[in-house]
Amino acid sequence: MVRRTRAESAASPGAGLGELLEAAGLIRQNVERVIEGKPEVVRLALVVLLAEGHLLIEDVPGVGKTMLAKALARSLDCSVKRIQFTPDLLPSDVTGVSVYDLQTREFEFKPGAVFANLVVGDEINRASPKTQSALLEAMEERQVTVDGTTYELEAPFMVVATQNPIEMEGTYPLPEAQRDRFTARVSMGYPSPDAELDMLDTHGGPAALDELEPVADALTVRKLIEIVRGIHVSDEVKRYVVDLVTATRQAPELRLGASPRASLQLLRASRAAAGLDGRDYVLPDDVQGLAGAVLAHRLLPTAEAQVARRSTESVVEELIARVPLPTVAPGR
Amino acid sequence: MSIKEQLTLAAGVAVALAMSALSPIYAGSHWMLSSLGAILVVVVSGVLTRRLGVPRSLQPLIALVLLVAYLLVVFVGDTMSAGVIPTSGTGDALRSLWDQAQNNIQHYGPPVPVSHGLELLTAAGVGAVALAVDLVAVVLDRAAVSGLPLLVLLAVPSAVLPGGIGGLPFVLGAIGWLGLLLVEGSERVGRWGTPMRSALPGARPGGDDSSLGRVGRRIGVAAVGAAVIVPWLTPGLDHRLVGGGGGGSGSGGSGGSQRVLTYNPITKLQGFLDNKVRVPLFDYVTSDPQPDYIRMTTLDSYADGTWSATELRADPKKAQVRNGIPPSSDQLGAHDDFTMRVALRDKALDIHWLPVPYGPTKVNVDPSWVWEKRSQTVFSPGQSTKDVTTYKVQASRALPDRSTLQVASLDNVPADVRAVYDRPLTVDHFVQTLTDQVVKGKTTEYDEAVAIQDYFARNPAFKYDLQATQALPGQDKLVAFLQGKHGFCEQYATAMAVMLRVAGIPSRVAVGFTPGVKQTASDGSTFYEVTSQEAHAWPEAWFAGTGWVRFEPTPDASQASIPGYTSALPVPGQGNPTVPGPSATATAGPKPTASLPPGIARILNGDAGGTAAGTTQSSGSSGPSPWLVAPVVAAVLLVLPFGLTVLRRRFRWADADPLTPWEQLVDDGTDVGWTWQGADSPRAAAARLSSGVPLGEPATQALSRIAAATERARYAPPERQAREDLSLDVALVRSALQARAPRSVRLRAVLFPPSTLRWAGTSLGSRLSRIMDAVDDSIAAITRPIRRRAVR
Repeated sequence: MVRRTRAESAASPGAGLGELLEAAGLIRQNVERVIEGKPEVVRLALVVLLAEGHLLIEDVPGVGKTMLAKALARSLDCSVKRIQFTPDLLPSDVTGVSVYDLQTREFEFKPGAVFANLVVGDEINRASPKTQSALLEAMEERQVTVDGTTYELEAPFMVVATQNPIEMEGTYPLPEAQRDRFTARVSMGYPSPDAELDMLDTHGGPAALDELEPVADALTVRKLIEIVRGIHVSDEVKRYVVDLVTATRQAPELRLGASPRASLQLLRASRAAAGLDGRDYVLPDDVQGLAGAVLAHRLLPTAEAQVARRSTESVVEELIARVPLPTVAPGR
Repeated sequence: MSIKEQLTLAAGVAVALAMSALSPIYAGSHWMLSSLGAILVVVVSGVLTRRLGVPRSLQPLIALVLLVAYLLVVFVGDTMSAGVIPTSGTGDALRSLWDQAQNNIQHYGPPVPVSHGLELLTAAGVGAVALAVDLVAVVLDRAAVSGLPLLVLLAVPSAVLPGGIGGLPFVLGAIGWLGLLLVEGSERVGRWGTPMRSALPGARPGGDDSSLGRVGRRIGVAAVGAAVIVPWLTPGLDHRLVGGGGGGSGSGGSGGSQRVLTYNPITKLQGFLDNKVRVPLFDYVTSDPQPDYIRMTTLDSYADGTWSATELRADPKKAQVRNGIPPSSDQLGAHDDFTMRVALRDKALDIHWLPVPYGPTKVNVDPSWVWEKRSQTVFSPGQSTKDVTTYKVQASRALPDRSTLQVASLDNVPADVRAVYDRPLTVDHFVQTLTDQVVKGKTTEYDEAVAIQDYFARNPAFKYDLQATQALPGQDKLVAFLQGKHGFCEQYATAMAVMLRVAGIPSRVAVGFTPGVKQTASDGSTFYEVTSQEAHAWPEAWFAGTGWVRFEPTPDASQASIPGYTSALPVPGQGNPTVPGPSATATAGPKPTASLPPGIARILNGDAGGTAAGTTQSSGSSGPSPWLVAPVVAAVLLVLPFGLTVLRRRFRWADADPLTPWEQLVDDGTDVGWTWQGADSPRAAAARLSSGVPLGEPATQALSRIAAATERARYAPPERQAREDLSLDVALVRSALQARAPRSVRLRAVLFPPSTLRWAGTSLGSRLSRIMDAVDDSIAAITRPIRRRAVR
């Protein structure tokens, strides 16, 4: 219920970059202490955090989805809530509920699990669509409306949801509208044999997760987000983002292309990626590096593409290789 | 207005535009009015029947009935009762109009004076084409195929005119047809639904928003443009739609020979003689004391009472008459050498054969005039005599000898002569019998020929008459003449040439002029004046040892003369080939003339004609030799890409753009055959290049520096831009790239750099595209109000 406030000082991008690199480096190292051999997944999680987005982690059970979410949560000294989505979970469990207070004789709002800086939604696709949608408003508008009253959420606000692949039993696939609200989807993948061996050693002892100390607080994260917002994006790169997203709408293999929201989130994520690279301007390479994670989960393949076992990731890869970079000055 | 009605209108406009191709073959333009009326009738009938919902199958029938009614009312309306009901007089009037039209066509070369009959024929023809186009394009819905009936209108003049139809009528016809296609195309698209208007900010304001229409127009413009421009640019194609050299109706089939499609010289001749006014055509001075006939060309094939000429063929380079004409191998015996200087009256004569005396050995005239050996014709596929002012002919005329001709055997006629001139003819039985009677008792072919000549020339029953005996319907024209015995040179020459063939003697009809009237200038010099009244036709027969010799069957013609070698009587002054005919002396006497024709005055003053070259006003001969021009052009073309590359490089580095190093790198890579991926960022492109081509450490580092600088230039905020001199880095990468490339690729990179060629292509393409856009916009601006009205 804390009003969303802007970071106190809008740091200049050039000066703030060092701060960003330092803080982001600490969080990254912290998380990598428990998630071994997956630096790119950790980096993507950070990108999404700095891009003010939400992360969807999708993979088979037991590869560390929840571990990643919890490690990220632990690294930040901010409010963290965890929701275990089950088929009988109710929307009010997520958003909160108004309870009649016999003493004050008034309805009092009991905030749900969504009121936190970091919300870990475990196995989100096990809940009913009704409950899943309860997250919709919170994720996009960063506010919750219960019984006609709107409550704003505190910044930063990030949902890290995990889900099992939709082919698995006992799952409700996320509706398109909800998938679109996640900035990026990432697959953990199995660790390499070496990483798995290390993991056996590390996790054989006391719970590694419990040993994690927070390395940044909400204020720091807000500041970092402000720095990322200041990163320069040239017209060419904006044009490229639009071209790429437009291409998904025209691709013959796709039934549904990416939304304008996708363009916005792709650009934000690219800014964050550039900042994590210590650059105060975005390159097309940043866009290309994130397009798969940011766009693929929003796309619907056609029946033919499904029969041909074409994944939306491979379609996006193909588009990246095909859509030309816009140039300001064509060849003279 | 419905789309069908629009299509009807477009079909009418297309026919009207294509009809303009007919104008060069007719004198005057009053015929157009009635033809346009015929088109209008078809269009109005089409629009009305479609508006009233008449069944499709009936629409053309109604149009046909209306068209016939229109033609009857306009042309023979006065013979019909109440102005609309045909009477028996109508049929007679139509028949006489038909005969009139026939007469017009047979007796005149283009431009044909248009009689009432010919006007009717033309209007009916144009109306029929309009009907056919309407049927195909609107009723049958096949606008593309309607080009075929339209082509008929273009085919008539292109077959009749020696110079083809020219570019403008073709372009007009094409525009009409494309318009028809455009309307039909919009109808087809219209069936799919209302076109969506693009609301994108990228859509060009003011332009035509139907991209389909734009594409269609571009294809159309490109196709017509290619049809006009490509033949024009292609050397060796004589038949061009624009520019000069369009005289011949097609290029030579084989061996590089040119040809000219001959329209019948006889019609030209008739045109001259029918015209009662003496039109001076040319004047000449000659060293020949007794000038003989002047030839233009010969007619070699006979059908239905008329001789006509087949195509003339000659090599445009080897057969130039200015380089000399090889003497005929047939002509043995004595020759008479002389020179003749000709001055043509200004544009009085417009033909593709040059009037020359018998036995020309050299003609000083424009190189386009060539010698056709078989028919012994000097012709030009590109020029007409109206392009020539003066020319000089050197000639060596054979002097046929009666005794030689007497013994000439026809056993060994050369194959080329036999193939063309000794072909048996299909003639009426009457002609066969008559010939047998005439040559009866003659022992040699020569005697037979003389007998046939004398049958006409020395027979008082035959009369010279410009109104030749007309054949009755179904009667052979030749038989009609032989029975009626009235005619002029055409009939006599025709008859004798046919009878010679029937008697087994190779023969043909020559067309040209009698020697003309001798004139004396005020200073005492003499010259000959040839007018339209001297136009003449006469038969020639072939004899071994002498070749082609002329005969003169026409009695009492002015200027005509019976050759001396055919006269049985001893001729005074033996060796002189001609004996002036009875009427020839009457007018050939010298008479003083007050005014000297300007051309002949120049000849007499020695200003022109006497000099070896420059006897014509053509500029064709004065240009530089192609053997000199070709290497220069080739050298320029060879050096051009290299020069462009150097210039581009210089200009590029001169303006110190931060993107210059990258652009140069891209060009250098392209030149050695590296393919850049459009989707690669500078960083990715550099990585791909250094992994694809082993450049070596220094060049790889230089490459990274260039890529980093380009990244900053393109994507960093303006305040972070830094000026760096990367020219050395670029040079380093270029030399590393070239060191890895094969020698042939390096050579190509210098002489024909693909990057420069591509740049030239793109800039040319974008410029063309802009021009097309401008054309599109203006067309759209013009047609928008019309279309808006049509939509309403």
